Amino acid sequence: MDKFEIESCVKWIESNNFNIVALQIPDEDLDKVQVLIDTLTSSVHIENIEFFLVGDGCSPCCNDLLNTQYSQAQGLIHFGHSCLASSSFDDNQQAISVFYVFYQQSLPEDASIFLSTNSDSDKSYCLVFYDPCYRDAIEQYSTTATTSSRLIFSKINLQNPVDSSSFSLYGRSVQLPVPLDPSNYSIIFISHSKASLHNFALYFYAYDFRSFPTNTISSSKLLSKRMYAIECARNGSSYGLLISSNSLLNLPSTIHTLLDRIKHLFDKNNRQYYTFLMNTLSITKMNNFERNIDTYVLCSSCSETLWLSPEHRQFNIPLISLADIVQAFEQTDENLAITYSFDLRQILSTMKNIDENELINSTEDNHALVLKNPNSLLLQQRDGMNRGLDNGRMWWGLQITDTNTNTDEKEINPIAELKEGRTGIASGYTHETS
Amino acid sequence: MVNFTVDEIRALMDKRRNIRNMSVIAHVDHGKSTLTDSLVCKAGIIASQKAGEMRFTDTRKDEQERCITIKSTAISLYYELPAKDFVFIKQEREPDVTHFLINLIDSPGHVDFSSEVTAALRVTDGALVVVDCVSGVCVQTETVLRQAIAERIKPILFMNKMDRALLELQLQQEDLFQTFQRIVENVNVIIATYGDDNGPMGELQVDPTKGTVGFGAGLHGWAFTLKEFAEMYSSKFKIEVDKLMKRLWGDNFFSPTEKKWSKSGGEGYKRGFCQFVLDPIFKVFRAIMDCKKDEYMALLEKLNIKLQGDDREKLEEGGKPLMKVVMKQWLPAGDVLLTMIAIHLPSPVVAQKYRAELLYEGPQDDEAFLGIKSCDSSAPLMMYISKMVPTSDKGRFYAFGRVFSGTVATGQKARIMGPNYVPGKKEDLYVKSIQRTILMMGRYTEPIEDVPCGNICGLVGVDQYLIKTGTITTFENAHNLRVMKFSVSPVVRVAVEPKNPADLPKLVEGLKRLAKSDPMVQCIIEESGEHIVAGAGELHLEICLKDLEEDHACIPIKVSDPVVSYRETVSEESDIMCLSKSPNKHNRIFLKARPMPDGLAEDIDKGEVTPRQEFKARARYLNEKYDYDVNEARKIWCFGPEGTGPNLLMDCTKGVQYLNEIKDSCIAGFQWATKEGVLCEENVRGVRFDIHDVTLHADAIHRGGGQIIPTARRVLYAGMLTAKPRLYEPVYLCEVQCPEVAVGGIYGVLNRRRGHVFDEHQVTGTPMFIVKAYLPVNESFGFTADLRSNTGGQAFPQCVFDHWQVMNQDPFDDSSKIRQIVNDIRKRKGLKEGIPSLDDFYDKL
Repeated sequence: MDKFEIESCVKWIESNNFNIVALQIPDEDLDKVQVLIDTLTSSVHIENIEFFLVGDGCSPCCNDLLNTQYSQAQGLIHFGHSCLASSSFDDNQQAISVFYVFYQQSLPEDASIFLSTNSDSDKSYCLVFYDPCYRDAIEQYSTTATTSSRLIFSKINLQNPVDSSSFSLYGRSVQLPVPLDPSNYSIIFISHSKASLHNFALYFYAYDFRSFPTNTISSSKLLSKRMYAIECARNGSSYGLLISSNSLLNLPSTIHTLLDRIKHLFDKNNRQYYTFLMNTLSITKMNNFERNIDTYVLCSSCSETLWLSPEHRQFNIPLISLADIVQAFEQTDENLAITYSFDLRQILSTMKNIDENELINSTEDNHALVLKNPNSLLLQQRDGMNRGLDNGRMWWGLQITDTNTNTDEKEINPIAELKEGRTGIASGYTHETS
Repeated sequence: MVNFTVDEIRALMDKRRNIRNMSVIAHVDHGKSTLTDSLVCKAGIIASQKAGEMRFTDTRKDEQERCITIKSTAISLYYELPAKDFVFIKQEREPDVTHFLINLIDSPGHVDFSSEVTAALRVTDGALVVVDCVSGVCVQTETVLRQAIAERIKPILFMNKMDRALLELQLQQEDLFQTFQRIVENVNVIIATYGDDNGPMGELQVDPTKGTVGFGAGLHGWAFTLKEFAEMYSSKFKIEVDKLMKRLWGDNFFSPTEKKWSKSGGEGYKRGFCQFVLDPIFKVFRAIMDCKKDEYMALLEKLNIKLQGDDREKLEEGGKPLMKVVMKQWLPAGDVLLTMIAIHLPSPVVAQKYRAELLYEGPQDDEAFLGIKSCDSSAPLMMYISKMVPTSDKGRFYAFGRVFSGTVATGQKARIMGPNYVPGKKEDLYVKSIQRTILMMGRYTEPIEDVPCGNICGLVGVDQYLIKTGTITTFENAHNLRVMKFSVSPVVRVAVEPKNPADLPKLVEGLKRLAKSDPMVQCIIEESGEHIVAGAGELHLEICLKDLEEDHACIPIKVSDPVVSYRETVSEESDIMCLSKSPNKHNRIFLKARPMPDGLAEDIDKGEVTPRQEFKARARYLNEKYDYDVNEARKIWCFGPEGTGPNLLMDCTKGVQYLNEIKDSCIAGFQWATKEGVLCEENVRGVRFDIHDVTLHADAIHRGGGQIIPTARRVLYAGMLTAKPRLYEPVYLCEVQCPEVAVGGIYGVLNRRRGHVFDEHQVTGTPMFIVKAYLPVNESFGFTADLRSNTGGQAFPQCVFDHWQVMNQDPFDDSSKIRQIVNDIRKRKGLKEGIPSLDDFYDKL
């Protein structure tokens, strides 16, 4: 029961004076939930405190804010590993505050050996990143042990606003003495979950990258796969922007700004797009739009949900990330190195601002045609020809039929301006109309 | 060489009836480039300021080093036809114009580069087929000739390397005649097989008596046709030139003593060809090579050959250098060949009349078609881009092609249509201005204001909108010009990766450029992240990778071992009825898979059976040839993969409600499943899937694509797994040419590599043997080197993809070779280990 850090949870609840709290617990610990709740209820000195168990229908590393909101809880305690990809700390994006319990562990053996010997690298600095479950171990290590000055430890940065001189990625921030460059730094990553490791390996593909426990991860292979995704991004003609309600709740302002930018980007490049907001991303739902969508773009920074799971092979539409789109449409100079990350805030910070005037100019020239990139390396192009869009199609899905004469009305009321509808759960909605 | 200003060249382009577009085609090493050189020296058009620089068709460094042509190169020639020859021109010509503009494309002979030949043939109307008279007609001769005839390109023949026949083989006159006659016959057999003398092109057969066959030695720069000799003798015999030409070939014998011609020969009679053509040549050769000064001085006097300047010194020595000079002066190759080309090859005006229907996909009465047919420079523009030529500006290309109708001009706004363009749709279509039109002369380019139809030119700025080929037009309703069909396919693949991962974006850019610069190479990024380069053969791939590393990506790359692509198939009908349920369990599909009858997959490849055919005609064909049930054959839902591949999805259901509503979803699942087969995600080939029954939820929302597509895929996989799945491996047809002593070595090498010889014969009249064998592509890596080392470098192999052969082993048997192959592929693609089990796809009722 130690790993639940009950004391600090209690402290957090009491200091915020919450009386409804949601708990998100990894599946393997569900059997201990009863004990946990009992202990919490008895330790917290708040009357009528209620606990809700959330986390169903969302990957365990993300915060299930959707269900937390449904249960009208004021706070969420997230137990277990977190990818930190969607945790927000730099602004008050979330309405619900989150408290993390990472299940602190001791460092893997080979990692601690490496840190104490710190032998094999010729770079002047070595950045050490780690999964949050090693926070205490690293803190203890960096304060007590006599460490070489080469090693720079990152911090799990949840509450503090980020200092402008530091570098931050996926919720870990680090103070840099010299600018980040493969010739100055080597990277160490102490990993607990594969997804974070992938994300870091991908971001630091050009660096001397080592991970513990020793793992044969090839960052160039990961990057190659992303090159395929970027090629898909270049090649599509209609895109489905996928947003899950949960990530939208986690990072509302970031996602909204990003979507705006991406939509501008699509407009500029004369691509069609649809936005899909789903509570739970599901293959069957997405397959229903097979005929209209060339490429799905996942607008969620936690990559674990879909494209690392084998399930996504049940699906023959490429699923790519926002970063792929940005790379495909914004990166024009091949000589510039790619900086690849799934972190939405990171993507947002690297995106160029779109000049409205430029947009108007370029559309005039190109307007008549829906185009594909002709220089594609994909063997099979998903286009209308292959899908047989032209003949004998029974069902038109998203296509707006031209027979409808009331198109003017539609133009007056674009979807973005629709009024707020009902919210809540099936037992009783707010704003319900008859 | 001739020097012209751009304006003068432009003026020549307007005389459409005096233009000849032709390509030089042959087997590898039969001397195309050398022969072309002698033409360029004689008549090559170069811009004034470039005069003095040499070696035109060898534009690449590696071409010169390896002595092999890799890219086809176009050059323009200017030739003034002597007035006496005008009577021989049977086609229309420009009145009062004596000069000709000849656009010549020198093509590579090695089979790996035969896509370059295809691209060259498309933009030309005539072909000079070069045959080495020592080795005779070879595989590649046949291949290129077949392609030429299929494109309606008129062939003329040139027998090259006569010097070798005379000096090395020391053939006698009669033997040489027999050799020539056999080659002419062989070529005519090929022409008759693939062409039709009564077809729209008129007579195609080559015939020395008509002057469509030339003889000579490109290396020494001399050549002749019977016309040259007939002209020499016609005044003496007082017989007209064309009648005398007939006497100089075949069974026409002459007795010098009786001064009489005979059809049957006999005592004192000698064959006309030997007597009047070969005998003088033999005499000159013998006299000079044996250094009999008196004899050859007399001969030179008789032939009226006067040597100039430095050449006079050679007179004293005799031998090869003198012979070269003498022959060149006596029978200059340039003049003879250019005359032959001008007389016998068609002008664009003539050729486009019969080529239009093959070139144009659209209706045969629209403006574009009529413009092509009449070669009208005021009609709408129709231009075909056949290849991309790299410019000095890295990453940019000239689009090289032929204007078939109208005029293409700098700054003109045109529709640029890729091969996937469908009229009325917007896909693969761009409307852009043409930045610049240019003349391409060897490696030099000159800007030109506009180019009228019937000519070949390059365009700047079009490369961004086309992959490799395309159509450029100004006509709103134009259809595409037909895409080229290649005789080879990219079967040899390697995976490349940069040595430094940070260079990946550069590699991707480089691959795109490589894909553009070669008509055949395929560059693919696979979902697993592998970057694949696929070529027609090892040599092709080697050249491509070198280009990628040095010119296109400019980064160090790592190359994997060659990888062969396989095809998945089945060998029997499914032993059980396969059933899969949709994720919501409300829909069921019942299906069986079975192999196609032998030949049907090939028929689909060849386009005998296509998805675009009228379905009743197709059903009749399938019924007659393959004994398919007519009712079932009428209900073919689709072909796949890519909508055209050699697999069928058939509807064998009876009276199922709402069936049509899930057709689209089933097709999507079928395309997907046939593109990535169940064993190792290779393409599927030669499988027929019969849908026997379907149960559907009554409510449309529960049988949408999301439910049906994955289900269709699963049931197709189940069908394949229950029908004894097998792999097809690609097999080369391998032709090895060698002297008799080396034949044993060839058998040894082939046996070690699972090859099997099916034909072996001697080339009549030579000591060379030809061994033909089937060799699995998988075993062919390093074959050339292995063969050379085992035969002392005497055997020369040529491999070209021929067919798919089924590997009759059970992939479920862990010890079989095929299982090993499946495992290797799965590992390379990063798939789960082991073939998926039937339980993953098969549902219980």
